Amino acid sequence: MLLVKKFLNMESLKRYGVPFVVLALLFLLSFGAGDRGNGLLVYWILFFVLAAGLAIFSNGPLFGPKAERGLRLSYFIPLLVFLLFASINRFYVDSFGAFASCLLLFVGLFSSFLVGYFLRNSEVFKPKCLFFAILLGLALLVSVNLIANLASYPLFYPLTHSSYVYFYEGIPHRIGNESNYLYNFTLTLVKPDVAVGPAAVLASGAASLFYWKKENKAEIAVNALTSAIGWLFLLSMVDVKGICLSLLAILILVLYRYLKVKEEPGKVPTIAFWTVIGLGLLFLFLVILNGAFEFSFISSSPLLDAIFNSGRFSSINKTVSALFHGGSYAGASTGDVILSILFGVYHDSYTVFGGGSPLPITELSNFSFEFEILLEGGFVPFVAMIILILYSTGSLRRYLIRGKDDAGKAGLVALVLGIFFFYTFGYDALPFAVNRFTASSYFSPLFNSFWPLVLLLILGYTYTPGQEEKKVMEEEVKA
Amino acid sequence: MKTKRLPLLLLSFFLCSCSTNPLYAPPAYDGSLFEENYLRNYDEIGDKECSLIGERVVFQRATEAYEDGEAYFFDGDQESQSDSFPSFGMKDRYPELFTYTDADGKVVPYERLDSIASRLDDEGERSFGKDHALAHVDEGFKQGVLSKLYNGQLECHSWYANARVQMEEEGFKTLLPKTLVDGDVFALSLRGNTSENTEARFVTADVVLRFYVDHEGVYDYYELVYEKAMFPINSGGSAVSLVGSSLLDAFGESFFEKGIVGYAISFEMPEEGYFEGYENYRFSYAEEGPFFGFSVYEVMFIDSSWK
Repeated sequence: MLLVKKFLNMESLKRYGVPFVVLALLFLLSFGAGDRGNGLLVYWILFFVLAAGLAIFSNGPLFGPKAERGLRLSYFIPLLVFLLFASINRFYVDSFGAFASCLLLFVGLFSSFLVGYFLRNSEVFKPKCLFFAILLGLALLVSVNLIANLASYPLFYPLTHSSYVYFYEGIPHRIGNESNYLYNFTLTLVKPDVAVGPAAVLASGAASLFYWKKENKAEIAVNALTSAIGWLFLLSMVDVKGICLSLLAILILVLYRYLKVKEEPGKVPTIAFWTVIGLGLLFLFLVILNGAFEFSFISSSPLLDAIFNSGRFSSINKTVSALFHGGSYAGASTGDVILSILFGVYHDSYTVFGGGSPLPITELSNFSFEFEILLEGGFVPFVAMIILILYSTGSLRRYLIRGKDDAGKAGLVALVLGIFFFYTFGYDALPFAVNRFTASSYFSPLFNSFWPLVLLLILGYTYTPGQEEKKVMEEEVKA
Repeated sequence: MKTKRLPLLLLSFFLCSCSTNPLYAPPAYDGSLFEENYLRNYDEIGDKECSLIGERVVFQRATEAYEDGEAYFFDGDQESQSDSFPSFGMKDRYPELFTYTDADGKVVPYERLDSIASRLDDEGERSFGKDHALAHVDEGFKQGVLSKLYNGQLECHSWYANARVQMEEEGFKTLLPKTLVDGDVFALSLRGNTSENTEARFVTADVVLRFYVDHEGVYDYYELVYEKAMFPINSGGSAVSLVGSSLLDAFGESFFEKGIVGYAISFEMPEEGYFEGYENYRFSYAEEGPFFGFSVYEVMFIDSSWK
């Protein structure tokens, strides 16, 4: 009775209620509950209610000192531009009909960021709480997928039995093309990459094992067990990409743990960093130009053709080509082309890169969520997203190295890296397993996936302004 | 002891793989070469086969060739309508099987005789094949290579090897996922195929069926032969023969007493009745072609009861 009274005390509710609800939502999201149909719409609404509630009932400042305002805008503006034009655009409004759904998507995604942002200074809402909520949800999802796979297929089947088939209702199904996945409480057959994604993110969480103190035995045990489930799944699927990307995320966190990394990186690392970024952007620019104009000097060179026109670059070329042709194979007006380039194409558009029959864009997967954003929203949200990624890299870096080493902080950064790495190289917009008589429907990375909500909440929670920004802030406060 | 628990736990994890749906190595009866696609050595009865129950029952000319619901047959290069076909076909013998009662209570003929697989549960026009497919009886009929015979698809519909089970004279023997305890009419949809394109024609063969009863650990069997059944070859994807008869007429009421647990299909080729040039065709055990095979598309126990 005393416990109940204590819990129902308004002060307790304000202190523990919202964080508890957020943690529960994170757990359910990571487990994939409500991931089908209109289920995500419920999360969008809940996050909006939580963000609004936090904004209204908060005692302290939500957005930090006024002096920080200009600097916050440098992060918030690309975030808002990205979310607005990635959510509300010709692709979605045309295909999903209701403008209201797109507006709810935008509100939901922004609210999830705000919830994390508003709770970033909460004494109750500690980093390790978020970390474990997500980890446990993912562990439950991945363990169900793992057990289902072990019961259905031989061990290491993608390596040993990839081309074997089973017959169901007379139709042959190649087991190398499928994996079990618990999609909103229903076991569904998906392509292997889709099932590997949550496991790769879960496996990245092992990075925080290098940060726990010896006395945190319970946390170490839970962290180790849950991450081990991710590794078991990756190993059972013999997924080299997932293993490498998870190891990369762990390696980065381990380097930060054991190297004396300064917050001010110094000239040489800064120049090296921006050189790499510059080269990457230059390469991206070339890829986009080739997709737009189909350079003959690239297609006629075996080496350049292999780099720019094969593999997943083939899909990216088709995406860019769709934008630069207004999504039409019969020719589009200049105005339509400009609109497509800036704001994306309609859902029923086509792409014609490389000749051949026009391909409906909903039968195209770029295997990278960034390029799906490009296809759906055009270059405006795409460029905003790249700026956001660069800012977030700095923010996460500062979050990690500022203050004491904290395993919860490291775990959150590891999860972000795991999500970013895997879904940059392994997002499949056509997730369902196919056979020669079926095709998968198109799955949008924003509309049909729980990852953006989780990722944005973590980014909001871990938002950390730079030292220069802090200096300006302190000077203005003194003034 | 504690250190041994984790490996044991992991080991139990890896021993989970226990799917009941068998896997088939490539080409899985869908190779580019005709001779790769025979179902061979498929015998689930094994050496438990015992003895014939009663006598071999023979039906003569229980065949009707049909295409898209309209019966026809080839006479050399000519096509004729069903009126001139000998009346041993299933539609003539069992006309009530090819009708159903619609939502208004009227008895109407099926619009189609078969259904393309993968639409087994689709709503749409009714078909004889879809309504009587054994896949509706139990999940076990949907698994394994023989699930092609239980999915309601009686014709090719350009599915080629995915629609049929291609076999040699020895055929196959299988156990049923459930025990057949009642029913009457048995039917199968079949045709012939060759590795070469030739003119459309008929081939004649005896279709030999065995129905197995579990008798104290061994399988006694009833035997039924459709003598000189005619079925088309190389006549395009949609021509098959629907071959069948009443099991009660053949074997009497005692047929279902103990329940039927399995069946076997095989073929015997009488010397007369082969199409011209048959003597040049081979089954897959020959080194060279051209090759010939029997193709069964569907096996049906119509209006049956199972346990």
